Amino acid sequence: MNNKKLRLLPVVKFIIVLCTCLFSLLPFFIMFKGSFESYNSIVSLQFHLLPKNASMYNYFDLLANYEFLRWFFNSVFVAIAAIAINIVIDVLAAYTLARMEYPGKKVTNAMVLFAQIIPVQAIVVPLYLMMVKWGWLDTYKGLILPVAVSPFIIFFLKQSFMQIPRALDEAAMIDGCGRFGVLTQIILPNAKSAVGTGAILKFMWVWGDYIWPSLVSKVSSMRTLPVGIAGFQNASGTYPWNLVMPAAVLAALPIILLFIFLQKYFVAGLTEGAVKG
Amino acid sequence: MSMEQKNPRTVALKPKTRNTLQAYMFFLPAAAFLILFMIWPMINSAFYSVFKWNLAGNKSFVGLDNYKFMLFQDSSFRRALLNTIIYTIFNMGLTLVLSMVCALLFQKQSRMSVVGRCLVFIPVVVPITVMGMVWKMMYDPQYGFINQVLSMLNITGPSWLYDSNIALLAVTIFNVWKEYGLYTLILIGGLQKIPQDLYEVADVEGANSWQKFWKITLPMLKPIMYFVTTILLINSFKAFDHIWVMTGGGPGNATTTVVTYLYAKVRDNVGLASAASFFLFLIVALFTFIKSVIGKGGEVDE
Repeated sequence: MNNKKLRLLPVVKFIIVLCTCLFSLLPFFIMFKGSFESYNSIVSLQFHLLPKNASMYNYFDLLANYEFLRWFFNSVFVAIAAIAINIVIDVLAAYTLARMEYPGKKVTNAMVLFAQIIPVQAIVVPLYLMMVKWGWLDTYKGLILPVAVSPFIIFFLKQSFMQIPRALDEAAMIDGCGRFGVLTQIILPNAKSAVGTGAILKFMWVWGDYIWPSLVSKVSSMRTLPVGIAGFQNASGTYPWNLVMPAAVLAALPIILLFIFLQKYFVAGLTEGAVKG
Repeated sequence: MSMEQKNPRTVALKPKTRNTLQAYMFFLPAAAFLILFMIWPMINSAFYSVFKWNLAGNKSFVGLDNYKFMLFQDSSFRRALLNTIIYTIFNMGLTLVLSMVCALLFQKQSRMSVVGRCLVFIPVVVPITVMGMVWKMMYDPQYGFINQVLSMLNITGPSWLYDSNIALLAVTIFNVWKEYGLYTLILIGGLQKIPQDLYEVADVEGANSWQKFWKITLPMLKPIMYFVTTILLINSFKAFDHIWVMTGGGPGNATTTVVTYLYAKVRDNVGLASAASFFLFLIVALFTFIKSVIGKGGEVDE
């Protein structure tokens, strides 16, 4: 009896593992399958696991007749610009907090900690009004600048900078390095993976962000991918799944590829910063 | 250093003053952005919340009336709060159980668990609204994948997002699918820190796996479980994106949450939207405070 149980256990375990993996991947399969089908096949009441009359037509249609490429460009541009500004600002701030002594250090520290608590969802209303007043709606600066700093990334980088031995800084300073030289020649080369993690996290957040771009972009040409895709709707209130699915595939693919190649950065950043900053 | 000697103005500054100025310069961009785009809007949401104000009309001071209206008179806000709490409870419960099971399955180093960890993590990284649209299609009562599979088993599936009794559960299930991989990985991190000799002792005493789980794994995992629970609490209260694209808060008010409530009011009632925003901030701040207190307790425990 006991022996039989022991032999069965790995099989049961394998089945559970299979089920969880299936659960995680099935929606991706359905998205992928739908992207090759005509609207009528997608909404057909007949169950089919493989696409009927698969073709690339939806993709050509999406790229040729809709503003998809513009949204894709917007998403890429906003993400890259936001990462670039973030890296400069966050690295400088983290370096100050990790390595320098100055009057008011407690205030700057508290500022970063306080900003980390603020949920984006609780500031979009006043931020939106600010954009209205400044005339920043439908502009790239409106999409980019409000997400150009991340208190969480500052905090994350500060932690990793603090693990680099101070003796290295001092040696460099004796050799004639200034503060900035220490940052570029000692700190950054030693904290490459933390900076990479910060950049990846920021990319993921900006690429998937919905609440902010949906408020700032009113005209279709200024939308980012998530806003554009969520806005696909026919006049009758139904959804053009034959366009939504290929668009979803093209929006998900870049981040999935990044994840496959840079897994450890994603995992390190996300498990440590489970609360988005 | 040689540069400084050539420049008389730099020499005039004491090294300490110079250092301070440099620190301020390095921190200045961050301070400017944090204040302008986070802290100032946060203060403004508290400030706007005491006015009656729509974007077209004028502003008038109303004291705490927005809060009073929201909490005691507005049935849609009370529904939003209730929905948020129900969503939070289900989201926490389902996510904790599912990610615990997966963490136990994938904790050992083997090829199967490495692949498994990677697969459950993929939903975490893709945009939530994009996958929300895919699930919206899967949830369709007629042609959706879920009900088609159910009908093959001779079960008539519910209308999911169109049924006001089920819609909240449906968006919760989607969110569990989207995020459980993250908590699985956090829990695996916790499991790997449990000293293996505890299990060896239990083996010697003849304990079975069930007993080992309840007597060793769970108690040792307590600090990280507190951590995961409070994060789930905070994130559940901020739920918005997927709900907005899947149901828009409907049908009726069935899936309205605190954030969908304030989002829908941005353009016509700024005062009320700000009051809801500030309310959300207070709740999140409270949970964060609890988390940091528990976090410290957890460290002492270790």
